[in-house]
Amino acid sequence: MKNVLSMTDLSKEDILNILETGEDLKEKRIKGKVTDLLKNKSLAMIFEKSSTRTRVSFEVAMSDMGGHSLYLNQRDMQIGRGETVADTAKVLSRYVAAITARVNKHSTVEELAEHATVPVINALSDKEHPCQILADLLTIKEYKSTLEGRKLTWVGDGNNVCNSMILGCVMVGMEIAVACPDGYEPDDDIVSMHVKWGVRLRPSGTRLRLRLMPTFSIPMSGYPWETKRKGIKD
Amino acid sequence: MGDEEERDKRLSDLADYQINSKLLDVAKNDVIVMHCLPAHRGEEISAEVMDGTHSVVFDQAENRLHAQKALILKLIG
Repeated sequence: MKNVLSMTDLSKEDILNILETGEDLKEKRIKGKVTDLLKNKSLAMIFEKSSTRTRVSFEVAMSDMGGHSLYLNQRDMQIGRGETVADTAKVLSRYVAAITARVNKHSTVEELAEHATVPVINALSDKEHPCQILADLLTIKEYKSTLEGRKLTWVGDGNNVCNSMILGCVMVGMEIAVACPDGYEPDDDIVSMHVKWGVRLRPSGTRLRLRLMPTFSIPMSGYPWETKRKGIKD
Repeated sequence: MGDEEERDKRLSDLADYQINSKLLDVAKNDVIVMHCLPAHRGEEISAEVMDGTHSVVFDQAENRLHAQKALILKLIG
């Protein structure tokens, strides 16, 4: 894997491997062990919108491992205005080992990845938030020991974070239910991934919008929820 | 729609979906409550639940650091 723009850029093995490394690094940090694993490596962090947690967590991640990070905001970068996204990606690739980007439109991070010769990490787009989900799965694992078979209920807006959560849960074998009002459903293309993965989609009542149940491998079609969303007639 | 108008609509649309103690009452005893932050206490989550014993939101925030370290290492380590 070169880039992580979506949860789907990671395999199940990648995710489990990252969680294991994360646990290990957490323990080392608590014990005060120094890990100079990224000495002399730099990370460019493009922020089209400001974000405290994302900025601080990435900056500290790099400095903890002996590397360096560069905070590049909209004003300094003029990405897409002064210089094209493609040129920005090409130039940055000559300086840094990796690029993270917190963008308004997912297509911007895709364009960066297309033209960069170094890895690009999506640090939040309108479509997905894979970094958050890796942290979430790490948290669930810490509290519940195992991930497979666990049930997660998403309550509220089926937004970009929800999109990635659906993918993350299904990939690690968790069951996810989404409860959201009309007009706040997660993206259709994300939910329809269950077909590719042979995951059962169970639409339910008015509040609980859908459930994805990886424990059952039943191919499905024509469920009311799907029918409604895709305008397919019975 | 204006920003304020849109915000009001979202608040009313999502009002029934607040994570609060009433919702936790029907969940399992060992349920954990997560939130990616920043939280709007009293809107999508009640302050009581956010600061309650089921909440893991600050561990979750901390884990951004550890998970991202692992991700960066996987890509360029």
